[in-house]
Amino acid sequence: MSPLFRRAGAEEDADQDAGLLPISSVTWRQRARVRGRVRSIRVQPLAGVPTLECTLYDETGGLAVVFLGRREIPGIRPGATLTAEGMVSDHQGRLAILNPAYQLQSPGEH
Amino acid sequence: MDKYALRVLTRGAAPQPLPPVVESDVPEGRLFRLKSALLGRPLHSDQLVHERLGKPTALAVFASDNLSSSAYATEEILRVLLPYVGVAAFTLVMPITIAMLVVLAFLILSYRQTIKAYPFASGAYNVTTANFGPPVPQVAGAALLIDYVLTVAVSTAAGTAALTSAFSALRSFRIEIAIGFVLLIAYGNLRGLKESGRIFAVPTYFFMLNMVLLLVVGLVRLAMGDLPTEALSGEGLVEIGEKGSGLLYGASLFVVLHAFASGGAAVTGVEAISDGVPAFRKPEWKNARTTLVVMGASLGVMFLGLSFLASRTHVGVFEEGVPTVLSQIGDIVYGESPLGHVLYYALQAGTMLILVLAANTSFADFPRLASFQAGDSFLPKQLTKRGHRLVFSNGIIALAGAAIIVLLLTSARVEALIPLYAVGVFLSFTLSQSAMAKHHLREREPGWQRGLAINGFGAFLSGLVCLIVAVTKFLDGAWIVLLLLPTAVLLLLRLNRQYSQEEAELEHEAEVAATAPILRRHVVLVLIDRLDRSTARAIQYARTLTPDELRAVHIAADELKAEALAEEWRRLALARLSLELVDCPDRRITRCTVNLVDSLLADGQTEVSVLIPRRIYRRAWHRLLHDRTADAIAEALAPLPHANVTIIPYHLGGGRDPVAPAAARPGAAEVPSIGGNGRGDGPRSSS
Repeated sequence: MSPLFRRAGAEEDADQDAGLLPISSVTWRQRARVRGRVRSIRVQPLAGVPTLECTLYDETGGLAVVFLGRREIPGIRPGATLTAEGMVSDHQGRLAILNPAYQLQSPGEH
Repeated sequence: MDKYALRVLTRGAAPQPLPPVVESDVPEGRLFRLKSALLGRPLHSDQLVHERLGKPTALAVFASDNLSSSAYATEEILRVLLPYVGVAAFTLVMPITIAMLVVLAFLILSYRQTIKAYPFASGAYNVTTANFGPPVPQVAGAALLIDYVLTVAVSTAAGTAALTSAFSALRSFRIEIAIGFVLLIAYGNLRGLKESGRIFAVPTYFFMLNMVLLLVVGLVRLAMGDLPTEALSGEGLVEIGEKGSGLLYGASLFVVLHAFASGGAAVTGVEAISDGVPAFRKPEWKNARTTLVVMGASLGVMFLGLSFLASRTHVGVFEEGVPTVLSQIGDIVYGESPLGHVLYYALQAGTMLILVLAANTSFADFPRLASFQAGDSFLPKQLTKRGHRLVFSNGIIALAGAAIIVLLLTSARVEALIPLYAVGVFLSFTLSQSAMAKHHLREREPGWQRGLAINGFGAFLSGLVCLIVAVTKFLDGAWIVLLLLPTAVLLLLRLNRQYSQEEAELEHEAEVAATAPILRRHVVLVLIDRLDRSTARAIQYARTLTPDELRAVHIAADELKAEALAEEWRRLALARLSLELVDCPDRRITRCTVNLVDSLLADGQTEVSVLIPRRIYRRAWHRLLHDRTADAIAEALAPLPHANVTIIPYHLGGGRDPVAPAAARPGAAEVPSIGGNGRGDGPRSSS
């Protein structure tokens, strides 16, 4: 992004970039901070257990990001860019970060 | 009580017989209804009758092509000679006719051998196939196919000329009339009138009767000395050259050979009988041989007689081909009396009918030969299929189309078509006689030396004529055929290579593939575009597959639509399935689907079925209102092994009542499956 259009939060963004792991090097049962593009999200029917499950991909690979107890989170949709941080565990056999601390990037940012 | 009865009793009910077979009440397609309206009801395969023909009928059916050539052969000889040698042409026409008949005689002798040796398939293609390797039969076959097309064109053009000679008002509609004839014959053949003998006997014998009458009256008037001689100049007549001196009256050998080549058109059609031997009454080959000789004799009498009358009456040849020489001779011989007029019109009608019939012979032969070649994988397989009325419909349509193109290109002028003609026929004669010679050398049956001599000489003679035709008519148009022929042969061989490659791949270790272990996992993806009945049907169907993983997937090319769909899904939740929204940043739904499926296939242990609900529209224009994404996706997934596409149809409006009859008929096939791609050859190499 050109410097001309940097917002006030630009310094914060720079802080966020610190400690980011490529998804391919994430290991099970370690804390990780990853950023990627939401490639798919899973819409649960109202009748089921409320879960929002999405798949996050960066250039190196992908993992699941699961929000238990939520049905939807505004802004999390296919194509969104998301930074997620939390303990890496598993969900239905897939490597996943459950209930991460997350931050949404507006389109085109990062 | 025996064990079986006990089992039945303990099960409750005894087994019942199956219900009777009933025709499905699914409405027929539009094409079928159109075909039924045009062609009549479809024929059952059992109705494929092999009508056996007696000799007189067989002569009428098979000889019309050959006999009809007498209607234009003399004219074509004169057309070549007149500009060079003038009046001497009328002297030269007789020797040339006789030479042509000598060739015919030898061909008939040769074909008598062929018919005896191969009584069930004596056509050039079959005989060469039996004796030579791949390229030779294809040359013979291609030559014959080209000539069948030309036969249709020449015959209809000449038939039109016979009509327009009698009714000059029709002359400006020549092309339309000729094409009309082609369409009429094609239509008749599509309906399946085929070789139904008796209809054919009438025009053939009517023509022969008229010709004999013409010759008798002509000869009698000549003997009495009151046969008039035509003036040799007039508007539209071919320019008359100066009479020279010497043996050939100043004509070069080339011109004489050229005229001879033009007369070669008379010999075409000899092969028709040999193609149709199985249609004769028993003993087939004997009857066929007799008929062949009778045909040759009849043609000889008519051709010779007509050439003789032409040489005495000095009829001119018109540039435009009308009125024809035959028509002029008829006019002169029958004179001006009312009876003469009646006889003249009868002659013209007979000529027209037999010429049209001659075209019909090709319509029987071309589709049959094409089906042989297609059966041997040298032509598209569609040509082997019998259509609505048990005839080779595709072959008939192909022939009609080709003949119409030729007629348009030549403006339906006989004299423009003749130079193209006969090269192919003589080439196929040569090849088939050579094949016979080889047959004799190999089999050495009793009397093989005589057979070898006949067929060898036949091959030599027809080869010579072929060469003469090719050389003398090269510039007039034979070059087109000489160019077309190798192209066609190469095309046939190329087609064959394609077919054998496909076959080799499909057959390669087919048994091993059939017993290969099946993949461990089966993932079913249902592509969801919207929440409606068609989607619901697809999901219900997917559940009957009991896959390891069932996923409802929406490719989110349009964010707003995806969100609306997600909202609706949360509320309705079809089958309590979760819906996956997949990011598709470039909005190329097809490509996104391919990427998704490919990632599922990556472990090499997964069989993926993609279910696409598709609406089936009742009318063609309804379809225009929607895009064809489903088909595009199915096609795009085709290259991925172990990716399978199933279209789940949903009939809009036109479908049958979805509940009652469907429930009464379990197991009705309703899922046309496209692109099953289980090649079963282990993990994929590409990704």
